[in-house]
Amino acid sequence: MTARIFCGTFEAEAYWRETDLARLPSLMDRNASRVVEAMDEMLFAFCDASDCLVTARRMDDAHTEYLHAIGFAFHRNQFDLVGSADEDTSEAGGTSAPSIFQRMDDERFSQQLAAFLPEGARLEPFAVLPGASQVAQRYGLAAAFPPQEVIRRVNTKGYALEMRERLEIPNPGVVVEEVRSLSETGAALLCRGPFMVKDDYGVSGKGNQVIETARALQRIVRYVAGQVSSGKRVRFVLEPYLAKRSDFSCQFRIEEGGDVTVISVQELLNNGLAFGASCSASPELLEMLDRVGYLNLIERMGSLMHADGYHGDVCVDSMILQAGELAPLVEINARKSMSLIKHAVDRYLATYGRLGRLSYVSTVNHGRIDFPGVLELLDREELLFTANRASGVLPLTSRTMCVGETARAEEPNRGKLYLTTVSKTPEEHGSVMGALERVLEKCGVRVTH
Amino acid sequence: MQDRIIRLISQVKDDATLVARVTDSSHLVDDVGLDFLQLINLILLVEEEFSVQVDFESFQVQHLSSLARFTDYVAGLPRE
Repeated sequence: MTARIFCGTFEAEAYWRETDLARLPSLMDRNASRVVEAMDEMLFAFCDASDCLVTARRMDDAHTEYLHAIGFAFHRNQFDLVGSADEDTSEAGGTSAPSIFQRMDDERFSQQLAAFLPEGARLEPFAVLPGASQVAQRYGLAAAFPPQEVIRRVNTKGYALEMRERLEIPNPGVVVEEVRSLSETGAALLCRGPFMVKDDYGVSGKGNQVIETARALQRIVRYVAGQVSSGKRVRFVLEPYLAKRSDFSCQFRIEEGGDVTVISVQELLNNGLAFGASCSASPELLEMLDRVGYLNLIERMGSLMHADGYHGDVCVDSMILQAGELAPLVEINARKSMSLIKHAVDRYLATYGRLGRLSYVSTVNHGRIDFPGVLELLDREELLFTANRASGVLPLTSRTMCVGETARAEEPNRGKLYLTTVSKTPEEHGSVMGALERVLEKCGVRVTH
Repeated sequence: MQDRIIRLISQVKDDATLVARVTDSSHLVDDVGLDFLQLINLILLVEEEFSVQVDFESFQVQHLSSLARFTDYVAGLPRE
């Protein structure tokens, strides 16, 4: 079997986004960007024994040893692909941090990478960003990616609107390309209730704004107009803010030849507009989706995307509205996804007859985190997942907790721990999370809410 | 001003109990749990409530380190 190289930059949309597009208001948070960068560790879940995982920063040794011990076999880089500290500065709402492909194409790391990456292996990135093909060529890796302009197009919110029309499903959204239409269409929508402004390349938790008052709309219009006067272009999607009962997503893959394979459906427990947790779809949801022909719609969507020149991974966000109505296409993410990682961990857990829920905790601490110590205490408290434990915590990342350690010493370190809670029943999830919080507290790490 | 800001925080979080729980020293992210989308919403509400304008580009996350510090920041903004 051909070895595969997994790597990725999770804030993919920031690298696809055209630089001349006006933005919605956002706050600069370098720390959050550093957390997102360290999320690449989670890609181990896709690896088999012959596969390699390339992360921007070398994974924690104790974490890797633990993952190997519970059965996740993979090779990983033993060096950082990060140079000077000024590389990870981010602009408000955007990013200037190098993507994983820019890092892999950097002369400073090329010798070590060439020695690490097996020639002929297949490049399997989280998202196909600019530079992916160049990296494949440089290291003699196999890769067949669609053109960047196709990948960019199918990842826009505007494309999701077009797709709704082509699938003949309700499309309450509209694209605006002028400040005036932002103001007028926004005002018209506001007469019927709150509405959302979405950046054409926005992702959950970033690049979306709910507008509830005329004053807030005017403020956004003023903010965008200011950018237009300095040469920026307007392109936003506006749609009514629909009261929803639940979110879910469907992961599928479009082969180069056009075959569409549905991989999984995951329910999402979102925090407002941001990712909260991913859990397996209930039998009730799957039965309902089957009844309304949801998966047929997904296959048609995949075929249309293939006709537009795309092949590769896709995650479609969907939701069930308060009245029980299905909104099958909210957004299209033409890349791998958190829910696909969840599915990969599920496949592993299924061999032990266990269920998993992928989520995270936000953490704050002073000084350095002793991650091996955290793992050790989790183990002593019988909370660390192992094959012979019925339930527990499977940490998916380690560096995401420690990103602030390199920042200013007087500031506390803020991070996130991504994890899967493992249990025999969904009800156990809450008690496992509570126990995790207590263990972290003993390690000097506070879970924030 | 601080009480009005607490009410706006409670509105953004859709959690009435925050009115009694948020104190001078509460960190708006770590203790209150505002995420960055909610912070933008809070800022838009604060702008509306106090007729001020926040410069998003220069806004420092240190202003969020306590309610008192955020209140001082808002109080220091010029009225429109």
